Amino acid sequence: MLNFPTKIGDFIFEIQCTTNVFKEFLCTHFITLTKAQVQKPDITIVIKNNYGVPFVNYDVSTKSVDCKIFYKRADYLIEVNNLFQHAVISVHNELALKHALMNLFSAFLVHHNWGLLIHSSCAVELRVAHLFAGQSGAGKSTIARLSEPRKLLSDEASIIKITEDAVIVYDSPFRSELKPLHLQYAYPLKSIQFLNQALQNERVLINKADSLIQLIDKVFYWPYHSEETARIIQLLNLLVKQVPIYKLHFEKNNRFWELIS
Amino acid sequence: MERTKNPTGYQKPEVLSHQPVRFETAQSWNPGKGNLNHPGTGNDGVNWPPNNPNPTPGGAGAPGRGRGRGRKR
Amino acid sequence: MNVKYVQRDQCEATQLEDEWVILDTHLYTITKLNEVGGFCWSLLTQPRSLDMLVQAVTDKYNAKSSIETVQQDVENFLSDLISYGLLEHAS
Repeated sequence: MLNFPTKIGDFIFEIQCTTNVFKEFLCTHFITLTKAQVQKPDITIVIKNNYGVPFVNYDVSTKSVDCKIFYKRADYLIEVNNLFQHAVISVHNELALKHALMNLFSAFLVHHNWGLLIHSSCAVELRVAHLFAGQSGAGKSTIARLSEPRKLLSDEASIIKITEDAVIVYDSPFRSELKPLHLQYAYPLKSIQFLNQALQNERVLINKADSLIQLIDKVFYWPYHSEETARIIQLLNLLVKQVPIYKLHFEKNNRFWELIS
Repeated sequence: MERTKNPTGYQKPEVLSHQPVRFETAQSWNPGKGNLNHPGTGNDGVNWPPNNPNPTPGGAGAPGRGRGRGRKR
Repeated sequence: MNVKYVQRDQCEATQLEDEWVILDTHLYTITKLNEVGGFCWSLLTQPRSLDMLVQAVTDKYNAKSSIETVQQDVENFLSDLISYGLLEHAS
């Protein structure tokens, strides 16, 4: 049995593995906390392997019964109590584990009304964070590469804490290509860009209603209850009221940063 | 009822847009290759081959077939 | 007969600048209204007739259009909201 306490956002996750096959994956992507840093975990997750079949598709069925929520995909099954304190994740392989952890974590954030997991890359410039959102293929990874040597808080799924008076971004362990920085501090979010590859660089402010609507399908989330969906919209509402959102037309060089900073 | 002067005057009441709420449900393949084949609407995996194109756990997946907008110009 | 209309229970609205965004948590839809539409929507928390809405819109926005035009505009708007499942007839 592998015990792996880690921190994501403000939360302590106690991960317990019945096998060591995922040890390298966990150690590479997640911060390892010492015993002294772990007082009371916010959630305990037991990971089991030998579940299901290799990836078939992204269809996740959700159901909520007997104070438990289930998320089922061909290659993973998540079972979590409705207070999000205890979860069991059964997976087929490492890919399934990564996706299942993202699925669980996004639900955990919304359950706590803490924030959102947004499909985006995020870079730090002058101690503030700038987010670059878009569907796959829009250029998040390109933007991440072109933003070096700036710190990259994420290249796939940004962890955003949203309150009435602040929006801040944490280092994300949910990465596509780049390794996490394992930073234990967060940065205020200064802007969001929706990406559009173009022949010249241009940044255009988007009105707040359109910003909110266009952000919805950038939020990683697998709905199981309508109340949670309403909570996401409320969080996005708080987000767009505090952070300006732009459409960024960018060519493949780093000069788009001149429009941002 | 409060009367306020509206500088833009009367415009007919209108529904400007109406659409389903759809979240992102498609993560990337990891590590090594983003999911470039994803059609961008979230929620469906029907454009994927029936079997996992990422046979090695944690290994690089098969490259996408370019439905993304990352083409060279 | 003076038909009245009212918002359906499952709708949550928020005003952002001069537009309104309505979430329907049953049908999982999101709808954007312009300012005058949002004003009408805000009145529809209570059952309202077409005439009441037309009067309120005319008063608030000092509408110079003819009453028939405003009436037609509001009627079309209500019809759209009903077709999207956001409004119902008040019993």
